[in-house]
Amino acid sequence: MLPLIGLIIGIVIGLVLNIPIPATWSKYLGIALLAALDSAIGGLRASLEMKFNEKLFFTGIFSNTLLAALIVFMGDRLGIDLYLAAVVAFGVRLFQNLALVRRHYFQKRHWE
Amino acid sequence: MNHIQNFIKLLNSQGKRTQVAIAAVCMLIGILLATQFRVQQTASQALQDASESDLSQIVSNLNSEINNLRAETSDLRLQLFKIQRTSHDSAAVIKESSKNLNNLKIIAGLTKVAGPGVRVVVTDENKSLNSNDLVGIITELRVGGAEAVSINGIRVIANTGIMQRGSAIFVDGTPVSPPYELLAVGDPEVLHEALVITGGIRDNLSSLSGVSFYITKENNLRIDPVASAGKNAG
Repeated sequence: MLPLIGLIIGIVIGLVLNIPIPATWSKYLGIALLAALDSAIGGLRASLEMKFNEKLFFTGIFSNTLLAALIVFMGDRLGIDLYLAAVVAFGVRLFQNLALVRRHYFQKRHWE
Repeated sequence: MNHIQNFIKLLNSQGKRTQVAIAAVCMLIGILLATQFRVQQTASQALQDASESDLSQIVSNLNSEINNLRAETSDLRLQLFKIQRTSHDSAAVIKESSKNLNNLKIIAGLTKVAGPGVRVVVTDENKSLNSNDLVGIITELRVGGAEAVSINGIRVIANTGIMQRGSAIFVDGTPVSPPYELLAVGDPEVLHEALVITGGIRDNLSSLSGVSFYITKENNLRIDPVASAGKNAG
């Protein structure tokens, strides 16, 4: 339940603060969002598999986000839509992790 | 329903720390989501939602606006140029006019005149000079380029009357008596020469008995305006 509450609190904070961000940065924001979502689903999956590690979890968030931001930046400088690479990588992992979480949900042997 | 309860049970079995960690990241996701939502909504929605024909319409509108502004710029530039030219012209006119005005004021005797010139003292012990002789001396001074002339302290201008009534001479209605002291502002050398030239006014008048000329060149003479200047100038 806590993750859901955290998500709602985050949305409320974001709407209330209404942080002004230049439109050109919205690409970075989108990538950061995707990286965070990937980490959260990944963390959920790890916790279901009983191998959740806080250090791995948090370092994963930061390294993923920073690398993604770097790729977007490079893409902007080189004139290539390099951020698509990050989007695809995170997207694929997101769906894989989501599928695994779904599998855990239906495999009764884990909790019986 | 049983599934969900068991699933949550499984999640909870991982301990609070895991829950808090994932919740923290979920909160981050929430903040990012809300912010991104706001940015997309405010910044680029108008243009992104517009159709291609709308966009081309917008572009052509902006282009025509640019052209209008360019035309306005050149118009204003032309206007500025014209105004600058006329102001330049009128400044020159004002300068020229004030120069003329000063000259005219000097000629009309409205202003005090100071500068180098000559002082001419004419003695007349036997009253043998008449008004015409004085007019002659003043005329010679004027021919010599005198800017301003006075006789016994009375400024002599174009319409100053010098008249003879009996034995008395009146300058501008004021009686004057010898010795006559004339002041003239101008080039001292030229004024001196105008008076002392051979066969000139000094030679002519000095032949009369009791008449003698004392001419001195002065570096700094002051001639006051005509007595009525205060009234006229106002």
